[in-house]
Amino acid sequence: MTEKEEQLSHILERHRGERNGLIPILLEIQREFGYLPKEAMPRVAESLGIKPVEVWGVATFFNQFRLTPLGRNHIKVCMGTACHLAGGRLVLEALERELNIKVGETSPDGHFSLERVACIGCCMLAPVAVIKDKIYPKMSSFKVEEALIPYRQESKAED
Amino acid sequence: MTQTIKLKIDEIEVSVEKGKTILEAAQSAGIRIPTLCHDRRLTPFGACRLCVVQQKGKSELLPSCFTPVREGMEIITRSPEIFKSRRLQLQLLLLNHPMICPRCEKEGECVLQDLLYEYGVLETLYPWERVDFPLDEVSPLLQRDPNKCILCGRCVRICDEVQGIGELSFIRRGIKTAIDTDFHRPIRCEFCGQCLDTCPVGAITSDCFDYRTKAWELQETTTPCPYCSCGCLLVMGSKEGEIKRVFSDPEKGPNDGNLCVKGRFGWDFVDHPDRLKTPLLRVNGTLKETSWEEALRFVVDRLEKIKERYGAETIGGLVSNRLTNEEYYVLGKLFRGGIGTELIASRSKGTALTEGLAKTLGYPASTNSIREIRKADCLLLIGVDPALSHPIIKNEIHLAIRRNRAQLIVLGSYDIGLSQSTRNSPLSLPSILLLDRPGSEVSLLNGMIQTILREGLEDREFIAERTEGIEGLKQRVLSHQPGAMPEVERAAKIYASAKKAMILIGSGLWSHLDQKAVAIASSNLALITGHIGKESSGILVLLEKCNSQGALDMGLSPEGSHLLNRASEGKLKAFYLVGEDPLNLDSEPLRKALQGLELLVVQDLFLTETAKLAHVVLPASAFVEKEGTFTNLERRVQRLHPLRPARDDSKPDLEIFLRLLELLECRLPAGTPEAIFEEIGRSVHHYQGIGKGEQWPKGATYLYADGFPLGRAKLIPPEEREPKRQSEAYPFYLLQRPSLFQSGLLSSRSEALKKVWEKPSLEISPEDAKSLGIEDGEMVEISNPKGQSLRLKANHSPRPARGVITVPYPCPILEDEGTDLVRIKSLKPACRQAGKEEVE
Repeated sequence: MTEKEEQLSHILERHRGERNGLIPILLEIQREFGYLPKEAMPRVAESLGIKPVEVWGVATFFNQFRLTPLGRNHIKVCMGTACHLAGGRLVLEALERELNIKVGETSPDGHFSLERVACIGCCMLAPVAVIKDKIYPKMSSFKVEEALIPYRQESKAED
Repeated sequence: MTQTIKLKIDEIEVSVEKGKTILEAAQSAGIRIPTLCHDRRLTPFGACRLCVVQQKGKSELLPSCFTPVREGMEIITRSPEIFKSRRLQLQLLLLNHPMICPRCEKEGECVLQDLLYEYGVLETLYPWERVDFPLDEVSPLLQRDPNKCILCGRCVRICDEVQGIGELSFIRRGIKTAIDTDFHRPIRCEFCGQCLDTCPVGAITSDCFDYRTKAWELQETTTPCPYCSCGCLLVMGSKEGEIKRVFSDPEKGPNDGNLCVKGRFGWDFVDHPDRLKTPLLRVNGTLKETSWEEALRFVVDRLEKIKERYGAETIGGLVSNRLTNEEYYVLGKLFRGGIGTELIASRSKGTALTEGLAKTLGYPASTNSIREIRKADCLLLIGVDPALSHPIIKNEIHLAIRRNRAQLIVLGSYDIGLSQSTRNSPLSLPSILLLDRPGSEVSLLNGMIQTILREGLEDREFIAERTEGIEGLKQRVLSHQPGAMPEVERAAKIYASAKKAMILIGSGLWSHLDQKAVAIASSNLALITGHIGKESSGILVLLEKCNSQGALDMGLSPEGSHLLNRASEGKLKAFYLVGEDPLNLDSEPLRKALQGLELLVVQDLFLTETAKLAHVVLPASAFVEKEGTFTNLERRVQRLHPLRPARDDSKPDLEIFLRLLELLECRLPAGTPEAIFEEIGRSVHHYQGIGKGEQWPKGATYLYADGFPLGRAKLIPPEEREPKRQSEAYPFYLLQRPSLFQSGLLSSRSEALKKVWEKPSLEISPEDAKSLGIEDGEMVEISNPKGQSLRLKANHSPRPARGVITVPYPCPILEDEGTDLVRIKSLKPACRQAGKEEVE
């Protein structure tokens, strides 16, 4: 049994017999793995005695659940009212172009993933992007490339 | 007493039961309200909002499928506001619906199309670029186009609520919602096609149905299904004698509009190219085509010669349980009157069970109806897995579990999928399992009876008034039984205290060693608790074939296996086989015996293994080409309606028997099926006055409501036979489990069913597998003391009891009924060694 499988068994064991445990289990799996691995879902279904398609239905229904792993550098672009008005969309599109992925996707090398979020609570800095845990205030499409440089170098060093 | 409620719908006074919806009330008054997401079989969903109505004087729109009736309501189903709302709903449905009606499979009977026409809706109000969903074109039998789907959820709900499968669900949300399987994988289920049946649009289709013939060109014929004994009514759509598709009518038959995979897709054997076209006669060792006159003349001449030389008792007949009542009746006349032998029998599994019931209760038949199962609150299943052998009964059980919170008790040597799904479900009570080695059924039942008698849970009044023999039973059961297991006690208490309890005994392929004793023990259990003679309380025998019950009723002996033994021993000189192929499972002594016969007549649809040895082969007509009646397991006599005349030069069995009688110069019974049925009504007393689709005795949905035909029902202490003992060398009981997709000669000739056949695999409990070191999915070899062996894949399964392994039907190393002791050899680690030994 690999380490991942063991972690999964651990989560399932903790919720055994909980008849309404589906969403808590999925949340825990996501916390543990960063996303919902495809392989985990039949096992969740089996442990709860429900059909795999029900798990799949719930997992695809809520936006909170990710079905693909996050990139090492997860980027969130705010699309709340203030950021939206201040040109958040342009920032998002610039990131899409720059990273060559669509929103909600992860780059094939696993370094970057892009997500659009609603308000992150710093409207006075709009438009805002968050890379890893660092907030980038007053973003614009011109600043995107520059903001990514340190992360790209880091990734290169890791590879 | 149920309360009735009076209300007015469109100025018409309607009175309905309390709890009914406005829609149901309107339908009962013949008022049409348009619906898309409503299916009578399902709980209301309220998704389509087309069924909106108004209360007089109020502007609020009520979904009528979802709103219960209240006293004094005044409902309007037609008003400008209602029409406006419906029109808007339809326009919203068109948001993502491709308007490709002329080339849609559903064209002509699409509910959406009809409503668009009715409400004059042409296109959506908000044109935009439609979301494009991926199709499923690779699943066998069922294909899906989510682009046409209107998300009414009927397929999702019927799969879950009625079938208990849950293969489909809503995926994603908002405008991207689709109905799909997990990860968009191909469908892998029972393939009952209920989703296809209920889909109001063309989102689910089948590659087995011909969609080139338009719905309005189809001629619809209603006829009972030729497979199991549930007797579902099929509505066969055909054009010029060719079957194009099969649906079911929810208003007719015992099946409530439900069908299983065999009923819906398994009919294509009737057009199989291998069907016999003309009579065949053996000339100089080979079968040659001949005329009916010559073939029948040959049969009669030989029969007369054999009778003269060896006596009539050397002539035997073996008949399948798929003939009509009329045919059995005439066949009885042919053998008993025409030839003068009693050796005419069939070999249907489970008929010994009905014999047991006849001994204790009076009638050799199930006591209740199929539709009563759903209202029971305790169900005891003995040695049967209806999900595999009688899928429509499985639906009923599932409904009882789901809607009635019925307690399921499984007794036998093999757990069933239904009970497994109750284990974790928040919607049902976990099932009780009473699993033991094969042959322990009677002692488990006696254990239950012992608990009931010891704890004083019996229905004393019922026992005193309506039964006899309680003392004998008490003596036997209380003194001879060892103390019951705790699970047995729990099951007994639940069964005894249930309001409505039913027992379902199986005729599955994994039959009991002593069926009669099992039936007697079950009837004892039902009698001492008074669970008989009431609605949803009684015993159902799940007989094997579509007219097993009819064969019994017409006086055909069920001792077919004995007759075959007689044939193998060479005691017969002439053998007449109708729809039977005993050489299907290879048996060398029987083959030799059949070759040595002076006359072997085979009457069948196909040139079977046995037919290849015959002197005369007579081509019979299929069920869609003949008239007559079938009697299903709930004693319902249903008429067959031919949709075309006999194909090629085949003849309905009835005509063949009548012609033979004529040639034997016997007094002929009436000539047409209707006239013969009338004659049956006169000579078989419980068939008196039975009309089309009615149950015998006339008007009885359940038997013994006003007493037993024997006066009192008999409590007979059943014989407890010691089950076969496992030995060191052969430690496993081998059982044959029925297969959903293959049940015998007809299903094996259906190309549609072949698409979904399961790969044969051996099921073994994980504990046993562990002790033998057999991994999941490993190849193993099983062998029996006779030296026969079989190699197949072993799967770990929670279903078999310890010490029991199962293989799917048909198992070549197992006799027709019962079990055998076998040993298992793992092929994986030993295979190299074994190979070496052989080389050396």
